[in-house]
Amino acid sequence: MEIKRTLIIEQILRFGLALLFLWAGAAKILSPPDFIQTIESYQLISYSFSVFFAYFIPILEILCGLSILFNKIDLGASMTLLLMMLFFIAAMLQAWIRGLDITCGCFGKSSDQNHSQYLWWIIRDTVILSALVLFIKNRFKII
Amino acid sequence: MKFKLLILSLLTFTTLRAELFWENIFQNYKAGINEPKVDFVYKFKNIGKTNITITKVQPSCDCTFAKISKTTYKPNESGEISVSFDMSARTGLQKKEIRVESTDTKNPVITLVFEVDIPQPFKIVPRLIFWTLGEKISSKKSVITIDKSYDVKFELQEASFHHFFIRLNEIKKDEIYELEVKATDTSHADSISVEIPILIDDKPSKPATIYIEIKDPKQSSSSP
Amino acid sequence: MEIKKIIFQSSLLFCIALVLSLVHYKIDPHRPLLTRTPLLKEEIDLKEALLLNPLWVDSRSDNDYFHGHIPHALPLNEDHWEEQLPIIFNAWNGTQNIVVYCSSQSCHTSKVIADQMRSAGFLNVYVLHGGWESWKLNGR
Repeated sequence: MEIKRTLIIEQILRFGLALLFLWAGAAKILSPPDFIQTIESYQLISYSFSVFFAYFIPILEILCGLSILFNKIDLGASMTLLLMMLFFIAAMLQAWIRGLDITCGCFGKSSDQNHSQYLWWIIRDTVILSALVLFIKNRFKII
Repeated sequence: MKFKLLILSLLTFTTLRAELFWENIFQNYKAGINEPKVDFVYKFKNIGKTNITITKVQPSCDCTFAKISKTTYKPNESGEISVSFDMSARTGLQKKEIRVESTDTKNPVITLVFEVDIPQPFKIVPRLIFWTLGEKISSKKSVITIDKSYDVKFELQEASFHHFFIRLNEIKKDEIYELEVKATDTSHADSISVEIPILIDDKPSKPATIYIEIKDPKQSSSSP
Repeated sequence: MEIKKIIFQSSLLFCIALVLSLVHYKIDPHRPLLTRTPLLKEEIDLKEALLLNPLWVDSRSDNDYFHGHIPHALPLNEDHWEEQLPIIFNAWNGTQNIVVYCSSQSCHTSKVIADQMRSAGFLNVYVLHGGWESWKLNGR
């Protein structure tokens, strides 16, 4: 019974995470210039690297999503996504601490607005990270 | 088995969702002459399974005013955001946004957009005419171009203000005019604004204002 | 054993992603250049702007201006264009350089306002690269 429950949880997480990262990658791949602007607004890397990652990250997300979905090289895929999420959360935290405006700037820089938006993003990404950890733990019995 | 689990996952995600469906997130409007404002209504419906609360409605500029009658909507309940855009000081194509934040799990932040095409029956370039102190007395000109879809008439031929003489010359009938401004004395700093009365399609319209100065280049700028 | 497997599988995914992203970049008709285009003629960075001792023009909303602006900057935005334009014209001595800024590099308002200022008759109008954010990031 316990094994069955674990398997069900694993499969739900597998499909949920796969679909999530497939969707995330597809959304970014359709508009590299927008993603370049987003990466640049974190002010962590140079423009050239922003262009590189704007093309690289969505494809990596899609590949990892497909790997998890079809159960092929999914250990590497899960760990890659885990590292990526840790990096995204860290990037967001540093942007928040530095008071950077990572939106278009159209709405001014009301601090209330920025704070609530950062908080929402970090909570969201932490939930995804937790789902990844749970999946890896269930699937591969590591962590 | 795997297919069933895929469906189960999708259902799990969908049953937990709170989601707003927006009838239209983009609207546009072509304004008339001297129209002071335009109103838009953005309608939405809660198509999710749980209550949704709209936590913030923020326009992108002070020219846009947005209001909502209440913040929490039950499943299947509809609502709307009323937006009013003040056009008084603007011309040309204006694109403005309103950011809406809510507890919608799929799209917690939505940007409503509107575009308004505000007519510009005529254009004066430049509107600011100046000489520097001691500059040789001369004429300076502004070009007025008329949009042919409007009948624009300027109720000024010649006028004198302080040390300035102004004359309107027709270059091409109903299309291009030249506003000639001559400074008769540039030995003193001076500053005036001239309002030119206008009729558009035979109706009085907001006058066109030009600013004329004799400037002192040694003056240091300071905030008011 | 697991670590070796993780490294191998991750490396494989990285390599495939690298190849595919290069192909995507190559075939994308709207791909950007890998290096940033030089500052537009009208753009100026903060260091150069300070050397000009310019008349600063803040193109953000009145609310943002009220909450903080470059010292001695004057506001000029589309919301209050007709009221603010003559004030700036009066404050400008006819020869001073003018630098317009908005909130950040991603904001286009400063370019719009700068264009409108030139059309109105102002001379030597520049746009601050990086906007108000670059002022703050430089510890000012």
